[in-house]
Amino acid sequence: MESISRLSNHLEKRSIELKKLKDKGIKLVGFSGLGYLPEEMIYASGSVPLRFIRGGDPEAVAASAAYIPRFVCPFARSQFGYRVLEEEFCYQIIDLFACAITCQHMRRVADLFDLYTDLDVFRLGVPHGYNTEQGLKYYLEGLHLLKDKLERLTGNKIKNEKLKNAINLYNKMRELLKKISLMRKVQPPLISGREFINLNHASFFADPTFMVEVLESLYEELNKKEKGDSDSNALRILLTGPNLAMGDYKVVNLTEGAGASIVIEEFCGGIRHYWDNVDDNGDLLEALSHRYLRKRAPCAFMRPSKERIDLVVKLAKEFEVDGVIWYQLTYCETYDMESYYFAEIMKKMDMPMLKLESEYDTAEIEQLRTRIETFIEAIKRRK
Amino acid sequence: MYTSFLELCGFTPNEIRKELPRVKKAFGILKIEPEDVKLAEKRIQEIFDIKLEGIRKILSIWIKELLALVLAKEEKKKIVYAIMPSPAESYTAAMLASEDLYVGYPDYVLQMTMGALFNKLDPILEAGEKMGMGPGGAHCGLNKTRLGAHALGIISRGDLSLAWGVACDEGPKTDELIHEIFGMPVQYINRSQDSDLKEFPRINPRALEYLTGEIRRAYKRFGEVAGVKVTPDLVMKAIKLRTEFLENYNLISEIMRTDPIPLSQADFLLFHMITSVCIRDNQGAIDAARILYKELKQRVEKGIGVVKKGAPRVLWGNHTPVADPSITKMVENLGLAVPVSEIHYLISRIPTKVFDDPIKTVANRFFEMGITTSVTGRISDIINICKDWNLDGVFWFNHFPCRLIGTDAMMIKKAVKDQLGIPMLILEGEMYDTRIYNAQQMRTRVETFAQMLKMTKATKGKE
Amino acid sequence: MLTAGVDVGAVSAKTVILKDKEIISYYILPTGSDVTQIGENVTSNALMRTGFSLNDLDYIIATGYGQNSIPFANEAISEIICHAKGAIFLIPTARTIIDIGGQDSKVIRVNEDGNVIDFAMNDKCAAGTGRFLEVMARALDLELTDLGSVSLNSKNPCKISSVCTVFAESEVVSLRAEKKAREDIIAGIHKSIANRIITMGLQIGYENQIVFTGGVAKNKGVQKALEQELGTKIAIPSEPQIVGALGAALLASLSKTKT
Repeated sequence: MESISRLSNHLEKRSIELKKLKDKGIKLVGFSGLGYLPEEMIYASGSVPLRFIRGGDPEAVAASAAYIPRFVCPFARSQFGYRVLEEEFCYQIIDLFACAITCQHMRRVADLFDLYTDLDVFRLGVPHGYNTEQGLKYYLEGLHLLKDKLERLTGNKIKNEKLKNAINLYNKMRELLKKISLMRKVQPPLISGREFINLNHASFFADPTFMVEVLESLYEELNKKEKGDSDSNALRILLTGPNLAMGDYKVVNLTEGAGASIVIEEFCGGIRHYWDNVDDNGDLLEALSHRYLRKRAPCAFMRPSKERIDLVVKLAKEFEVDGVIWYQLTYCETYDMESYYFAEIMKKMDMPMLKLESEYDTAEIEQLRTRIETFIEAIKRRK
Repeated sequence: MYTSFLELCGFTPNEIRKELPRVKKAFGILKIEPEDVKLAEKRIQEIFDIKLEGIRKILSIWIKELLALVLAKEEKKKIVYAIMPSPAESYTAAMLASEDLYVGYPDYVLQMTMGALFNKLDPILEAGEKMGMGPGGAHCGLNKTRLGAHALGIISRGDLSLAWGVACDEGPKTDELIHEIFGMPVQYINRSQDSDLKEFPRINPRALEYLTGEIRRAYKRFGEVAGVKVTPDLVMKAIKLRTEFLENYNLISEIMRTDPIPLSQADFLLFHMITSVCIRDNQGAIDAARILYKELKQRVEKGIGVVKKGAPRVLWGNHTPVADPSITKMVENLGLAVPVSEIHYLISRIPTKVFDDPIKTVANRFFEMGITTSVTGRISDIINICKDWNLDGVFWFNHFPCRLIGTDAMMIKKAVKDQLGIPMLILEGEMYDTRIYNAQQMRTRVETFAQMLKMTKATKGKE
Repeated sequence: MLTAGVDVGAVSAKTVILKDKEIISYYILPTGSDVTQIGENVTSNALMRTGFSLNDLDYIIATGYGQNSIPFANEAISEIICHAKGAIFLIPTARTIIDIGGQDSKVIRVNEDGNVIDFAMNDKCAAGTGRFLEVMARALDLELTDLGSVSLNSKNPCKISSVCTVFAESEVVSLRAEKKAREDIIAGIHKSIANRIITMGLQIGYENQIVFTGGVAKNKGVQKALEQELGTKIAIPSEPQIVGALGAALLASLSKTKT
């Protein structure tokens, strides 16, 4: 597709672009990529937001071994590992690391950056009670502190107009991503899971204005398609879990390679990124706090987070999936516990479910393959 | 048939007469057989210094807590559960609201009794593992204990759990799991662990306000469920009770500065854990502490110690294992004196700031410890303890599944080396689960560490 | 002064006899299943060529896995402490010791007096030990002692991704079936073991001179893999297996001097 090739081109040149921007004096702000930090604020301050969402590489995990014990989420370990390895451009080039302190694992990431680099680290507190007035107030206060920090870093005031424009831009992007994502409601889906996930992840690095434009033209191109390219008999799978990092594609590839289509992925780095927009009500920071703390599906570290489980069940029905794959990262204690009662719910619904785990280790691929292929095969036979 | 056991655990003949029917009922629920009681007697005599009356008295407190926990369903009208880490006085205040309430920490009580005394924890842990806290997930044994206790029906479902999620995610998530499976109502007390590293010991007023508000919200829900209110007076009373216990407990803490050390940390554990839970017999615990202090003073006068004089002295990081205090004894027998155990030393500091609002006092106290605020806060507390107690090294029995206290060992080791120049040994362990580590493998490392410290001390002595 | 150090490991037992700080004899035997007997056997074998008897010894220190099963020893001291003392004696510039034994592996930091300042040890998993190499040698129809020289012929080491000995063995069998050259597979195995050991020691740090001891130090392929990963040359004493027993014997003469 034409838009896809333009996007790839843009992404290839992105690091050179970023370097040029940095040389011009533009600030680059790395931020924890799991969706609790409003990217719009960074954009509105005139800096470039760079999402820390890479993962799936065992070397990055191993690089953190001298600093943090093994029993920490491999995604979290990787974030610091990339910095140690000095191979991922974004992790080296930033002027500030804005970390939303969500789960205990991400908190350690902030600690490691704080203790072992001379990088400036800003912590945005995310209260684990997202549904209380108190929690919202606390989070909003944190956004004000973030605003101050960004203004001091860049020397620019984050005026209301700039912030409103940023919110509109990102709202547009999210809308388009959602529209394209929903094109997988039909059978066969008009775009494959892998392709969509690539697109979603690309939005984390591309220039936002350019991204919106590409998404618009891609939507037009896809709209013209009569039928999706995949097999009409391909099974429809919902993929859910903590986060789907950029580079962690083995489960996605193995699933789609085994005769299934991933029609929706409920993750950080998945729908939690684009499913909800910022409402247009009065105070902009308040609007952002509502969207980022309350509106989006709560991760498992939130208490209670049953709302997200209910959403997954709803999506499974809406998207008419044949099975659910729960893909979690090893040592993620909250998701692991949720998977137990989630499995009970799936059983009651008579929905086939597969629970997978990964520590980002290359040795896992064959084991994952066996499980995924068996799962798909078993569902096919049932049909 | 339980008489000799209860005598060993400090029950007076009157108390035995009174409690025997309850003991029989509770042991029935817990499936403790006469064989188990005999083994427990042997174990208690091996691990604990039962010559000391103070130790026997505190054992009786724990047995009574076990009875109260397991029989709460029939003896009390409403049951409210606590989870840790949390300030115990916040629960004591709730407990004081009515005689018809049971408020307590089910997991800690089971760990101290079924674990430390009876060594019958494994079936409970396994039951927890089968219900969503599988072995591969690095889950904390304490939470497994709580889940397993519900799974086995040892404890009642409870009318409310006040789940503190101020420093730990897994704890309240376990309560959410228990809610989903067993229907136990839960009220969460939340926070965000976003303390800036440069903040401690200053306390962030925003965070303090948030936590204070959360406790108030929790008490409101408590009031709705229990039908009684937690008034500021009750909170004040709870703080006072705790302070009185701590004043006596701290006398024992201070006497541990003596060389040779007069008390084993395995024994001290029985008192440490009182500072972390809410108990029914506060006066009994205070009396036990008083008695023990007198006995220890006598030991000091006679020069009696549990480790040789001049032995290297170390800080025990985190705290000594609960499910198996014999590990603590092994370490001491290999030649390391342990005058202070990190977490319990910090928890037992009497709050410096007292506000008009006692709830704020409780919340503030929690922030006065580095361990619940930031890694640099924790490091500075550890450095201060090592300096204050003139320690030769740090002994770190890492609680590996804990994302709060088990993930910063390497950062702490580096700081201890850079700032103090003393060695730190990190061992992979589990404070609440004996199946995870191998005592034999630990032995080599501990022995080496002890010899290492001895040699360094000898070289320093020559200079 | 005549002293002895007896190191009973899980795989082999060693005794070193020292006369006035000079090694006059040593002996190595496989430990076998009778830990209590082996201490005596290896010590009497070591004494045989010296003309001395057990009673002539002024002080005996036992160390290693079977250290508490040597009834005729005066004292037992941790093998890590003994290794440090032995390594410094043989190579005075030693500051980091990598010891890969039959069933466990250690990285030890030591100061100029031979005192241990930090250590890391792995005895829970076979994947970084001599056992791992034993299993791999069998899978490739080779003698353990040939692994080193064969691997030095490798131009293109395979990547072994399994962290577990059991899984690595089946990985090796598959590589063999894919007709990968034996020297490449072994070089890959050596890289894997080197990687595991070095990672274990990262938290205590590496300082030159790095010394390699233990039975596996006789394997030139592992030495090469360690040097490549660490980026520096490592030193190996001429008889790397006896370092623990030597250290024990040295500590014995120190103890005796004190009394």
